[in-house]
Amino acid sequence: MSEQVKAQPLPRRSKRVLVVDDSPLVLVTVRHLLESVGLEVEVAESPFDFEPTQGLEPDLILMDVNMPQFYGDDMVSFFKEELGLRMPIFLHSTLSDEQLEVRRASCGAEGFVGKAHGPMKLLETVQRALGWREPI
Amino acid sequence: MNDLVKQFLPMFIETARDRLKKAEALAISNETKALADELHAFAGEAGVLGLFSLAARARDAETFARSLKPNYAGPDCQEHVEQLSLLVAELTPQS
Repeated sequence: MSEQVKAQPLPRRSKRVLVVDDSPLVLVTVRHLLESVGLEVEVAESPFDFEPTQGLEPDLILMDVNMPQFYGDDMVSFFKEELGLRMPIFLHSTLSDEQLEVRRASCGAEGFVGKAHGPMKLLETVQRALGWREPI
Repeated sequence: MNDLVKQFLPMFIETARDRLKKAEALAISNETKALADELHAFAGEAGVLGLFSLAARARDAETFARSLKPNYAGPDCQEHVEQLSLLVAELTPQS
């Protein structure tokens, strides 16, 4: 009698999100929020703290805009043009949606979410960006 | 009060007090750009936690500060900062 081999589902890696923000409070809050839905979260107070490692690149980057010494949208251009990063990058800022749309279009980011919209909107935006069909 | 606010409110209050103390000094010394940046950061932190009315008030104060000449904050700026401090004090749990 031949032994039947059952197909095993491949282990699915959690989606990984990098959050860049100069506010430690924003970093711990967003980390807690995203980890609560099973995402892996890496945080950085400066974009220069982030070194992309092959195979460990985030699936999504959330980038603050107004940071000391530089603007997040300039860093988006740098990440895309100089480092060749291909994952979606979303601006995450206190700026208005109108201001964010202008900056998004100019730097080539895939989207944005205003901090003023609160944690649920952020969660929904991240989940949609990662391709979840029905965000929590 | 949502879970996020419950968990991070003490850290928010501590950070907010520091920011508003700094903002008050910047308003007195007429450093409007730095003051606006401080209020911007404050608004962002309130927004991420879902403290919507506080975030909106901070954003209004920031917009006001950005509308001023670079080196003249004036008493209205100090008034905005005082109002924000009162709102933060209202969030502080009474012991």
